[in-house]
Amino acid sequence: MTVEERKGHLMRDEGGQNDQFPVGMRVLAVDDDPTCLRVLEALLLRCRYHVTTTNQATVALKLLRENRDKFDLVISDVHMPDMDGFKLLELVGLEMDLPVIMLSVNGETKTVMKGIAHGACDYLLKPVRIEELKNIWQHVVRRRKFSQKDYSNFDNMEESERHQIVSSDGGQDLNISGSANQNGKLSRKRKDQNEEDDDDCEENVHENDDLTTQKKPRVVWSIDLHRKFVAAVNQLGIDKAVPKRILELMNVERLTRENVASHLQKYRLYLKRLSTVASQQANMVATFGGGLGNHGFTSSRIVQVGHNNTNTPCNDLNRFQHINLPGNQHGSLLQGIPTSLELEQLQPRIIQEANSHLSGGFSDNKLATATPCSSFVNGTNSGFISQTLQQQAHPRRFINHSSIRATPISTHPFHVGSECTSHFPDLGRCKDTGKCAVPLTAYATNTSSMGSFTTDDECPKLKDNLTIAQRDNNIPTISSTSFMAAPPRDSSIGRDRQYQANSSIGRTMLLPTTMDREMKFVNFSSAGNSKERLEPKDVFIDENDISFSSSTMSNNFMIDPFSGNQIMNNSHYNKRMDENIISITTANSSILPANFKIDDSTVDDPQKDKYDLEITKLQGGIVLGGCNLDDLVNSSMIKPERDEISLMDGDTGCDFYPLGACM
Amino acid sequence: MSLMVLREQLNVLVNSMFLEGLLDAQFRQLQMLQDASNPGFVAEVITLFCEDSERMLTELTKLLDQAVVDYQKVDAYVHQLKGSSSSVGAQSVKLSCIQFKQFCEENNKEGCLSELNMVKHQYYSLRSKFETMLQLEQRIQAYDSEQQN
Repeated sequence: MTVEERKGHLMRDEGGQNDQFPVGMRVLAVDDDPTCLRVLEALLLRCRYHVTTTNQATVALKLLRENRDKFDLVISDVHMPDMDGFKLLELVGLEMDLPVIMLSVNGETKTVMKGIAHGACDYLLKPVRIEELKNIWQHVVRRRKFSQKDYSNFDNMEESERHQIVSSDGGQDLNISGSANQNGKLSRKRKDQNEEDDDDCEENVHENDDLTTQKKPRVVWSIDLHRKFVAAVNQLGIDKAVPKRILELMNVERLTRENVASHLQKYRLYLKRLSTVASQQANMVATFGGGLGNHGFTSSRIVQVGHNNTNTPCNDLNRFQHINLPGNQHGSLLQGIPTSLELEQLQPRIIQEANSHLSGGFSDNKLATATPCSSFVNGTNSGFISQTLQQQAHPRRFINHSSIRATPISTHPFHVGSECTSHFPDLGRCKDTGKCAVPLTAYATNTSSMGSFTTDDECPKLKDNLTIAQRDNNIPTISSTSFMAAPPRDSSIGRDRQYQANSSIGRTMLLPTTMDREMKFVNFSSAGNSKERLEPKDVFIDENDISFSSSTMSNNFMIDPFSGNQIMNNSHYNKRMDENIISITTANSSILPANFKIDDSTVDDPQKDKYDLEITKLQGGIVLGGCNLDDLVNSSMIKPERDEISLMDGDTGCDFYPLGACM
Repeated sequence: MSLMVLREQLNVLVNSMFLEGLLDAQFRQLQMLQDASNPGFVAEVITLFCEDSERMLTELTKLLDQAVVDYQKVDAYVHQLKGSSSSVGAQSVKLSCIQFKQFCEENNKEGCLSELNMVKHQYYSLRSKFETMLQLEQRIQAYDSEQQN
């Protein structure tokens, strides 16, 4: 098909778009006030948009879910009786990846900020003027172009990653021509695909151009879907898991091999990263010594810098390593926080394992930052989880733990962070690509205020995908985007599952990520964190064999990085993340950057917890790429125990799934 | 009366409402939105507004009548009233709502009660003028359709 034909075909299929965009743009307006709704409708009609109205958010969601391709944009009031406007905003962003504009008569800065934090494209004040409405189409176009750009970024990435692009376009229908080759290719090792990648890339670029005006159907990797995926992968064995077979095992309608292939790729990277992170974290933890029980948020140190820059992971990590270590050693982070016994017991082991991994994984880890912490934190609440974690951890839950909050993190470890922060800019870049699953590293140890974590008010909004950094003192905190929440409740992973030790993370803890039951994304609560994050038992720290099941980890991870297809796109991360994000990594998750702050607004709202969870979770599991595992190891505080780690695919260390990997 | 006279009366009425501060620029937008394809738009919106407002005022009265006032709910209603009045261009009502909200936040029952009365007062005076407006509109519409026929 020629470009034009395809375009026309697609446009017809979409049934609403035409060449005269923005005329005919399909808007869904939601407002419980009939007067406002009527006025809004009239204004939109005057702008020559196609308008659908409803006064109930639940109805709106239903409409959107039935056919997300039917609408281009959603405008919603903030205050509604049946559902909070922000919640609707999050859900729409997560599930449908549509631009959402908030509307309210309340124009206070903090409310507007909240809207932005939840991912709103824009925030308009009532009474709305027609001039403003005339411009809202830009959000639709921008989003499309932005996603396009993400795809084209893939082209710029290493060739080995190219194949990702092919299937990660999200526009499966667009990749028809290339898809035929996809499965074969994807099942091969990436390196072998270079030649074909070139061809595919060309096609992709070609198709990408078309995407500008088309809507790409996205595959949403919901938690269930991801679980199925992971189960299939585990069943096949990570080495043998080929997209075609995975697809067969999953037995999901309307899922194509391309979707699976791209997801698999991300998953693999994620695992790699996790293993690296885990080992790092373990090392970090180990440095604190046995009695970590603290509270410490060692995690702060171990923040992993999500590295969106796959090209230079090592460097970043190495840098981080150095930075972190000093801090960690002091366990000061841990102070103040009563560690649960479990943690204490685990820690030494974890640390050891982490160390072992770290050393191994450092070389090329791409920073798998897992924030296993969430579960970890929750359970133990104590010590392990870096303060930040705690703080973040759900503000409600975690923070309520007295232990957590109080622990002022010694500034000591934080300084480390500051140094690290410099590295974060890389992470920050991720957000640009939209897909950057920013590694949880965000916790950039905002060294500046290690102790500052105590307040939960500033939670880096992972949701934003933006590096959280800049929260304080410009410390880029890695935005959540890459956070994967460990599925807590459903325990699809089940604590008791065998967590296959991902190569690196011997004992990573998977924190139950989603605090929110509505988590849509797979939460990889590896450890069976299926429970609420706060529950200690969920944390599988107490399990001897905590091996981070890579699958679980990846689950968490997956969501995020999948950018294109996944809801977790960084760009939309905010919205999506709300619950699912939190990748939990390593038991050491406790190592959260002290500076992790929790956002106030999110904290208060239970629904917002999701994001917080994510953040907190991340924190827990964030291992700073740069953690000086070397130092740790050198300090001989940690003894790597490689034996305990059974690598999933036989790799050691760096087989992480890049959390923040920008794809 | 001739159509022109009716129209003139309507204009005078609306202008006076503007001058008195009962209406603001938003109302002009509503008028602008009314056109051939949307003839009864203003009437429709005004009617919706009135119905909604009365409902809310009733609720507010009930809430403030209780011994222990649930300020959250009160605030929610006032917020909504503020929103709809601003959408319609009912400036005086909107301003009263702002003040009302302030009292709510302070949990000032007396203030709330007095402000509620103010809002009601503003609303009723607006409503009576709206009613006149609607009548004029209807007659104009009738005239128009007659003339078209």
